[in-house]
Amino acid sequence: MWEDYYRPSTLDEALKILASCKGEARVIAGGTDLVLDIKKGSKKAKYLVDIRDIDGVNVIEEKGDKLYLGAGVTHTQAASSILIRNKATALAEAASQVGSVQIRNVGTIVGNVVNAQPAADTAVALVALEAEAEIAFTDGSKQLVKVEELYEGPGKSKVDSTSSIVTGIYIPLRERSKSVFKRLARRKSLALPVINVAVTVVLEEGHHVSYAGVAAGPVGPQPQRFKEVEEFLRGKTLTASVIEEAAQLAARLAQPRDSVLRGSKEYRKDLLRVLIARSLQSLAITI
Amino acid sequence: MKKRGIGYGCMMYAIGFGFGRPDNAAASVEIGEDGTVTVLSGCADMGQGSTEMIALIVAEELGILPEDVQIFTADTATTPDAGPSTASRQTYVTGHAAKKAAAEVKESLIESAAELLGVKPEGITFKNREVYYNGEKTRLTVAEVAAHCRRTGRKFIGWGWHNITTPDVDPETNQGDAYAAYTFATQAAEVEVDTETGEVTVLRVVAAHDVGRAINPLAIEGQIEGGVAMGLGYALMEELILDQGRPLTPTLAEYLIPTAQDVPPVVSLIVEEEEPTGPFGAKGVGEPPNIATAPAIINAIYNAVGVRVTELPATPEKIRQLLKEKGY
Repeated sequence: MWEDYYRPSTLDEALKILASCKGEARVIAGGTDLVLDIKKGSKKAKYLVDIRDIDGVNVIEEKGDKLYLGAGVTHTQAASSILIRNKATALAEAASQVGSVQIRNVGTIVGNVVNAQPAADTAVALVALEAEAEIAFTDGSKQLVKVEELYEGPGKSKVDSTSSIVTGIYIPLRERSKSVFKRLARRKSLALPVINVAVTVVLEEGHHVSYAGVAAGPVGPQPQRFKEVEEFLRGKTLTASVIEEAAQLAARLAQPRDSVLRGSKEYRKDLLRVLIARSLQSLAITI
Repeated sequence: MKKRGIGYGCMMYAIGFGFGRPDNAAASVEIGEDGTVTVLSGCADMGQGSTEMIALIVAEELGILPEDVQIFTADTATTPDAGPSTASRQTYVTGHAAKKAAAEVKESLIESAAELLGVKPEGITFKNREVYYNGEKTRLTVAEVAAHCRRTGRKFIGWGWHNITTPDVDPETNQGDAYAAYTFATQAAEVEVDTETGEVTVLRVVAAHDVGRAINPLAIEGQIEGGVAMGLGYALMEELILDQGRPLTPTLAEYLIPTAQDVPPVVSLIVEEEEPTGPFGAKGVGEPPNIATAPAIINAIYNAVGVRVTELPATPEKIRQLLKEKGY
């Protein structure tokens, strides 16, 4: 399927291989999506560049006012990291529910983002948390881009994995913030979500919301952020009526597709309302 | 809101092909000088435990231990036809053929033992590789008897054929007794229904199955647990969806079956009501556990939230729709 498989130990080396292969090499980490795509023929790669041996690629740490996780961090690592569980709870909860144990042990968070599926659990959490991806290019430059801006369409990322590498993710840390992730699928594990949502709020001491992040999938071509709902919540106290109004607003704004396999548009809108309301309820309780 | 309910499902199921369709099986049993036996049977074991069932029946009949039995199965070049492993029939039909084959060998072993002990054959029995006379343990082992049987030129191989073909029902009235044996079961399921999402969680299942005589209780429990898991999938998620004849669910990524997280604890209750026409009173348990689960779950949903699902699977969306119509 491919001619050569490289395991560089530095980022520079990895970028050099990509540059010298002139578009015929592609970045691989867990490969849980990419290998299937290559087998199906939907993605082509003459060479694969495995970034998991790069120094520091598995790091999870606080960097200033941000939480950083490297491109090699797997779902299992994210789900079991005390740091992520405490400071980016939605991401840990999302990571713990992706696929199966085997997939979580191998697949990476960054891979889940770059694969660009509209309902990727961890990507929905990262969009709600306003996370940024750090991208390194073959010319040596680096760029920080918000995860929600990495999408070109369903299954299509703006990240070109033949000429650039997402090296890690930065999640802004906000004082007194809490976050939560919820999903419903047609069985209890190893199934794509009918709807998933991630919500974060910062609750001030007077109990009003000073910041909110709300995202969901699959309700559009990419993990969708609900800025109107965030706006609505700002300055309000999470009472039952505020929660219901916010959830209904999200349901009105969402444009999910009818899916024979995963549920009708109407049901998904209804479910979105329920899951957002439940998320806000749980955040209101856990101050 | 989450609401709980309990529901029951009862079933009866006929063993074998019935309706005049030919239904029979054959097996052979040969005993060696060391008291171990070789069984040939066409019975195909797909993991349900039929090979072990045959070993247990032959060992029981000959008074030896299951580990003394070597079996060759499901080889069309060498093993006698036992019919397919369908219709929950292998214990009932092939088990019986194996028992008959072993009984033929036992006849000449009894004759040999009587000769060695200088007694009448009527009081001879075999148990745990030992020979008993009128209930008293003798100095002889089954292996010694087998060696004597072979040295004295007696028959050391038995052939069993068992036929359960029934008459067909009356072609005019469709009345009659179509099957050779019937099995019965009742299952109870407890569920929790999320009234806002329609999601159903099965909390536990209790499954009581009449199996005649339990030849291998642990294997029966395995059959019951597996059948309940399949029944749960049938009730809640399994669905072949077609688009103009083209399946939209061609792989297990789309055609969902229960995972370990979906299957609740299953309490298996084995009910032993001996079936006079079965080997040692045994019937079959292959398919029955899959039959009562879906009705039990659907009834439990009704008990929990008062909605009646009339088309499977009971997906969250379907239940949510029914709840909506009820004003939830």
